[in-house]
Amino acid sequence: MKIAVDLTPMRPGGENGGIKPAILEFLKGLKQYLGDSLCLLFLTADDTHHEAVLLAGTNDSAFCVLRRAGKGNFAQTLQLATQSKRIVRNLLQKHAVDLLYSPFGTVSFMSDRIPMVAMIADTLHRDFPFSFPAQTTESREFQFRKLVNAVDYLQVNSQFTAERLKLLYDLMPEQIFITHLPIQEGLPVPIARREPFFFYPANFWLHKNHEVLLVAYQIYLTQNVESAPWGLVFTGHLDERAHSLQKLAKNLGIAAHVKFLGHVPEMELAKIYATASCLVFPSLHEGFGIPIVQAMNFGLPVICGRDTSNPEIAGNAAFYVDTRNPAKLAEALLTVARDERLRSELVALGKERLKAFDFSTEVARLADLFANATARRIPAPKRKRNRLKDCWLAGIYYARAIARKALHAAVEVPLRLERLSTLML
Amino acid sequence: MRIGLDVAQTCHERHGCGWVADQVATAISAVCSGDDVILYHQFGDWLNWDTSEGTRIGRSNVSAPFMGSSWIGARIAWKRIQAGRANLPGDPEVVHSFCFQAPVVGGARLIYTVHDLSFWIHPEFTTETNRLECQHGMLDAIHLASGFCFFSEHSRRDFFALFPLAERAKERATTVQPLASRFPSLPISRSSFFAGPWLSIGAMEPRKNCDLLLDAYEIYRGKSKCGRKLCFAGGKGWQSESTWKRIADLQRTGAVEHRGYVSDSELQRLYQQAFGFVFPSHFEGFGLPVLESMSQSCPVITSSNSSLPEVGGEAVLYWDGKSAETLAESMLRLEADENLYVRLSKDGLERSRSFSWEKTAVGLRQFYEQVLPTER
Repeated sequence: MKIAVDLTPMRPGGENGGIKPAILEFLKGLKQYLGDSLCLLFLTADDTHHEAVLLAGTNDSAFCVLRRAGKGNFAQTLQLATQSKRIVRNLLQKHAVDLLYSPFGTVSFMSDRIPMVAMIADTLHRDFPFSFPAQTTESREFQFRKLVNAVDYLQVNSQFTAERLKLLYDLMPEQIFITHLPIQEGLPVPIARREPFFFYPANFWLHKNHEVLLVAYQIYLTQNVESAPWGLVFTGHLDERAHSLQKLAKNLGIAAHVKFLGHVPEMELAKIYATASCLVFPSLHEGFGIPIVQAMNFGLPVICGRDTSNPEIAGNAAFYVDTRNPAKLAEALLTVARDERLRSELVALGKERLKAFDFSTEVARLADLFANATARRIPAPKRKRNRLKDCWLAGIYYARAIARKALHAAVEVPLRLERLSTLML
Repeated sequence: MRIGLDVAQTCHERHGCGWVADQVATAISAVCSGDDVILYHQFGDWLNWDTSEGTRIGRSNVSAPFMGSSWIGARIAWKRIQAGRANLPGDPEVVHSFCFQAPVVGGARLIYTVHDLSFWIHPEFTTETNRLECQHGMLDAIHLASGFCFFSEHSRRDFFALFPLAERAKERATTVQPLASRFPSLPISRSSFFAGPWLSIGAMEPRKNCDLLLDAYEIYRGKSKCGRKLCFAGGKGWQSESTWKRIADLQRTGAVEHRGYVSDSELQRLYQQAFGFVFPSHFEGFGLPVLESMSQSCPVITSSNSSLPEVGGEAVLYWDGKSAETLAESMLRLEADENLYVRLSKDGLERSRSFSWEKTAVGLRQFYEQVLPTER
């Protein structure tokens, strides 16, 4: 089976969040499971090409089809739609590819000739659009609309996301395929001594809800009088929002207790999990929530909210709290830090809960899905392609995008000119 | 003193916060006739496409540099202010924000209004958009504001409970300035039962506890000899589709009436004609409708949570907050006891006279003076 894998959206480091290690883990798993019968063709961008090369075995090959270096967003999109698309079309034909797999859920290279499977990590742009600029939300929606019309199968990571997709995009149930992401065993478990700190691994996106956690942690610090307080450790790609959160921690008077470690490599991450005493996971939107299963595997108690996929993944093995309410979250931090018996109960429940997840089963199911998709394609009419409607949607989308750009320019151009003239004077 | 006031929220259908900004601006302009008052109809990221409906004050000490400005023009102006390349028009010494925004305001001292902290205490009652906006403004204010303004002691207590360690919050000046009724208090109170309906005011949102009010009303209607109607007024609100449906069903039977968003004068008339005012809210930052009802001599039944006792004092009938049955009992009790009815009307009216926008304005002016010499 020859599968082309669209890895062009992959970014160096931790910018993609948890989905990147999950995808790489699954690709490795597939190669192990299918052995020589699987031949992968990685379609990559220049900045992460080497990561794909590392992954490729003797059977596989990697082709760099997108040059990101020195290009803005617009230029990249244009390149994807023209040059890259042409290259990929030729590649697919030349190598007689059986299936196009798009794990990041992009539609750049869809083709009428071969079946396509795409993974959708979450429905964030519909359920929590505040995490994106308005333009990104619309471009995601535009991509999603194209995607649901083009794919044979959609892979999602939880029942929750499956239900949302069915509701939002009117999909046929047989088109949706759920694979959980139990990649917790991908991290080695070093032997280490527990240290008193709460751990929250997450990029600093708005839906990850760091603000409420910081306010809650501040309340926890004042209420915790009996013993030395636990610290708070964040990992995640240090972007602009991370810096504003660092500033917030300072303003809240808790900077000395809060560590921002940035994006850390896997070994380092494993070490933090092994030394942490509790996972606090106040995220407001998750398609799966990998840290939950990772924490359970490392024997950490988990505090999280009941939002989105969390209850489906954590089951009865988490300490649930309203993570929009700082006082309640502070209470949860205090309770878990104080009560050792509760912690060991949660850890035991977590270990039990992990039995519901098995990585190799998920990989085998995904392999079956690929085999199905290549053998029995869902016929085109069932995939509801409606060119007129597509054109109409595209027209509206581009008109709005242009209007937004124009408005932006009307504000930015005078400001830039002014800055320029002051520089010249 | 040069005082900048944010009136950005007065440019659209006005709800609580928009009215407060409007009334405070009007009162401050009148009280501080020796000061320059600058009204900002565009404020921070709160920009309006049309400002023509915004607060207008025809006084010589008042200017409104953003009145009639375009969205783009305002955006450019505020971006320059944010980048530190310009001061606010009118060069104010103090800028008072009412619309949850805490922008950079050049060399001025920023006063931030904390309407309430329900977005953190009861996040289930608000929309995600609202919650994030309030949270964002509040945390910006911790960084940028020189003073915090509350409308009730209860809100100030919540604030200190939620920021126990934030040195910036602890060191800042704070003030509590109660609001006042938009309508002048009536000259005399009621001397006997009125024939009108029960009244409840507010945008339809879960915090206002309308579902429970409807439950209570149905119990009341089964037991009452008078069987008065229940009249609602207020905006569309949010997260209340099922409540709206219920109201529509009850409206068909003629028992309930919803007037939608009503004008000021109509609202005043509703208070004056109603038999009694029922306000079983879960949480308030002040509770302006309670005070306005008192000022129109309309007896009030309300909850005793959050800031409501600060407004109602001894002059309203408190509901224990437990169940629809007890609320219905309170309604039946008021309907049966004319002495109580007359006393509540009289005490309410009297109490409402102790609140006035002039007092609020004088208090705020003093607070501005207190904040002015502090460091930013």
